Amino acid sequence: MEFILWAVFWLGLVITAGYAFALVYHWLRYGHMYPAVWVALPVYAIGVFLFIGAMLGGISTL
Amino acid sequence: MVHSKKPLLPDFKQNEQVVAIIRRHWFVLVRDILGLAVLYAIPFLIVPFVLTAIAQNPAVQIPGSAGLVLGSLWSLLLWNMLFAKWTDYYYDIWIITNQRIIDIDQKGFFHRDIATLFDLGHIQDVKTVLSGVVGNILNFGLLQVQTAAAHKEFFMSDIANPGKVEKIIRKTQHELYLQNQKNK
Repeated sequence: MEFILWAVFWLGLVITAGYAFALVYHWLRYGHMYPAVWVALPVYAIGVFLFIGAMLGGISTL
Repeated sequence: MVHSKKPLLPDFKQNEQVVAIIRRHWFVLVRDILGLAVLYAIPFLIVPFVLTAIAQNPAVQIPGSAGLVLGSLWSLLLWNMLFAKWTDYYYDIWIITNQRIIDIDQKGFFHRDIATLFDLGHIQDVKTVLSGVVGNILNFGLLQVQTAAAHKEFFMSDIANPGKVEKIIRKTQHELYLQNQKNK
């Protein structure tokens, strides 16, 4: 079971890395035109760390 | 609509100023978010039934923390999709300047169209369309502009208050006309 959950974790991490790269790239590149991205960036990062932390927490209690 | 006098794009001409920045109506974003919310809820509605069915077989044991891991994974994926939708919505804009209209169309990631649609002096006809119950209640819809040159048309779809945008375009076009007359 632990193996499956680790696989799920890495799958989530890889997909998130792709999304995070694309989002942060666009936000940083065009941020001067779109001021709300400076609010979205920390909110997004907090959510990502929270969910990754929850996944790791769940696996660690096995 | 946002009014600004700062140059937004590097190719702004001298004396070119932003008159208005137009976005699609907020309902378009809410509609997308509601779709994601439904998608988010589906596993949480289905999984308890599946787990109950599996729990009847004593040979299979699923630790409680597996739910936390899978729930967090699903939340993480939807979190990414939510911000992708928001970015797509937020980055799609039409900029009306005192000389032209610029269409910035973000199509997913890494596909960004920036087009100057025409000079304001070429506008021949502007038409607005409010359609559907929601469009009429919330006052959003289509703005269609016909130019004098080569049967060119362009659309601003799902924009808030298209009537007001039409007035802004006509007023800006009139001011440009007066300025051109003065310069002659």
